[in-house]
Amino acid sequence: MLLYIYIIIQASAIIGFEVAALWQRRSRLRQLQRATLSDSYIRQIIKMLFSEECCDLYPAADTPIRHMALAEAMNTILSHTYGTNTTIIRELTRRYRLDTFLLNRIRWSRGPRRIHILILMSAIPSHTATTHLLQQHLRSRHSYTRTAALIALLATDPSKAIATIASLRFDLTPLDIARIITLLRRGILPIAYEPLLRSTNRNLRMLGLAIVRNFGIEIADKQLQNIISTATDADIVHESIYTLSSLGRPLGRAKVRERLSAMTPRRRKQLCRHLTQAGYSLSALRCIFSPHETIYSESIIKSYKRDLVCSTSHNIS
Amino acid sequence: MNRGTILIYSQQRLLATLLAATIRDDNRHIIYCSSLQQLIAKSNSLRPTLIYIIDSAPFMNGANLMEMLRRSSLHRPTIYVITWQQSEHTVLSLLECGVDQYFTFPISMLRLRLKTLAHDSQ
Amino acid sequence: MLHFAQYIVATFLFIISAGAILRALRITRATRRQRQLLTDLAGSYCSLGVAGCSILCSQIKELDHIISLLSTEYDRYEVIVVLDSNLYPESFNQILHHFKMILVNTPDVTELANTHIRSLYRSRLRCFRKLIVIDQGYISLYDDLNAATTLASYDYVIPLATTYTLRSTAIDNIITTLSERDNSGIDLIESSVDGCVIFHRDAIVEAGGFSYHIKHKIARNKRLSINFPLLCINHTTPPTIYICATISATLFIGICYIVFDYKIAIISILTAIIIVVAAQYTARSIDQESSRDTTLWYIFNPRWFFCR
Repeated sequence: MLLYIYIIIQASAIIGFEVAALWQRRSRLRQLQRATLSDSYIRQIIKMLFSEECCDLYPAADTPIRHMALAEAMNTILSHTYGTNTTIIRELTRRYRLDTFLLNRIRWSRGPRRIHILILMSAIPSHTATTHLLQQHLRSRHSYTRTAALIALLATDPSKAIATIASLRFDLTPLDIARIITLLRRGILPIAYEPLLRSTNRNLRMLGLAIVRNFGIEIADKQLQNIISTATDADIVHESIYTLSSLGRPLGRAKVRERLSAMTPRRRKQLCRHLTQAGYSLSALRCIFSPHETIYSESIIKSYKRDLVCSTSHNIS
Repeated sequence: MNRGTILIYSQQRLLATLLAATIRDDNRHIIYCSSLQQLIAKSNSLRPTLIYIIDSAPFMNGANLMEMLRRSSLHRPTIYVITWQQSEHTVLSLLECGVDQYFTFPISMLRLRLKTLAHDSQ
Repeated sequence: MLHFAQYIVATFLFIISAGAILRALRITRATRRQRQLLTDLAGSYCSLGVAGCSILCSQIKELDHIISLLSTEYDRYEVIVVLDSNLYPESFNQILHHFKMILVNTPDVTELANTHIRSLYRSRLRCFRKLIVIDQGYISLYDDLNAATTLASYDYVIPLATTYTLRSTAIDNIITTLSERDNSGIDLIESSVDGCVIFHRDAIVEAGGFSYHIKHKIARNKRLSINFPLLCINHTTPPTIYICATISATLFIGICYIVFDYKIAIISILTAIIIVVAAQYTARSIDQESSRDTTLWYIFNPRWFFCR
């Protein structure tokens, strides 16, 4: 009996794989079809944006594939441009009920598909009624889903961005912060770095440091020094030191050296390597690290040059 | 007035469409190239006035793209690069290679259209 | 007794087929998720912070291979090629000429012993600053990797031998993996699909350099396994492998039929079919096509130059 069960299960698995392979081929064809539709919609939407006149799309977005194609077209336009007039986009969203479609899709999809639709939500102007659903996904077990929901939430309701990030129950990873910075670059989030650096919330502080680093805000030097001196979270101190180094600021001050000496030897070595790569001179590194620690830096810095003096002096002697 | 040919190279079709739609003009012929070989062949045969490249890697990997595009001494197309990368090293490397202008995403569609118009009027 | 042995063999074959199915599903799911993540991440790489990696290449002499390694937009990585100019003088000079490399100072003191770098080259052009060429007499692959490690500037290193090529999205995938969690305690990241290994530079130095048993020197709690591929499969499997595999499978099925009965033979045939179909499904999910070579590769997953 057991052997027959094994045979049936194995045969079912083989049939399952063949069906999955057919499904894969079909979904690739659908993807191609969607890409062609998105192409056409992008051209039409951009024409509407320049003429400032909203017209009907052709073909009309009245099937699921066309809805998805329209959402992807809007996502492509809005994620790669800034200063776009969103009136036309809002009108198209309302006319074709795109936000309702995407919300329904999120409910019935799982895994990468759900994450993708959440990302599309971040490009579609939608009413604040969607924030409740997006808040639910913020509590998902999967980190990708949480991040996608966060991005969608920040884009839907930018005025509450700081409150949303402050209320998160998970720590933002460098990848999450990079995605928020991308929203900033699009001009969606009205966030200033100063209140973030002053905040006691870890996520807000990490975001503030990322903003300083990405936008090269040199006047934040003093605040970074304060954070290094006073912060208790080792990750915040670590990130602040890296941010200070990205601005090319000196790291030899007493407080900074005190914090550096508390780091593990491996972290110190990593920092030394990073500073060498960032272009700090050997004398600057010797203020912070021991001679033993700067051996590597010395050899790397030397490898960017070529000594000609030795050979010349040999010739003279 | 014939504003000439513009080539666009991108590995992503949708981005190329976005760019083409932004700079679209009735008197301008815009051609999309999906591979570097196609771009080089079209550049040598059609002699475009302007080439948009939505990638910085072809200039930094030793493929000698600039030499291939400007092989003919009679024809020197203007090359604009658009990419996400904002680091100083990347920007300076591209300018050193001979790229005429460098844009970063996200772009302003209006500004890009005006830039292309300004290039045509030169 | 035979009856009991029959059930043992059947269960064993069932476990093998279940393992093949689970592996295929795991790899497909991870690859699909990673592919979607890279598409949705457009533009976030330049804001990723300090994650970086050095690609260490031993005796890679084809220009096209080096060009493909340098074809990533991400800024914080470098390619270090170790090549013996005495063994391959033409290829060496071709690389130096193509990338406008100039001789620079070699390091006097290195963190790893047994490195005997003859000379070091960097490009005079800013656009090729990611490439470093080391001229060192070839003794072994591990010596080459040690020499490259001493000059690596980033925290993670990826060793590559001459027959292996990184996929075009490998660097992006690696950087994403390094940035999506706090990896401060991770010394080794290994792809369960193709065996590609990424080491933390300091872990290599602490272990005294690369060797065949380097993985044994890294604690299990400092390892991370990823289920998507990083390498291109460009081996052509020799025909003898097909013949041996087919003969072995046929013999096994025949023995099962003779010793036990037709049910065990059917189970073993179905197991063989599941292994092949799962490998094909995996190959198609990753590369959108499956050839005989890639299918066989996913079945046998050959040993690499670091032991398991």
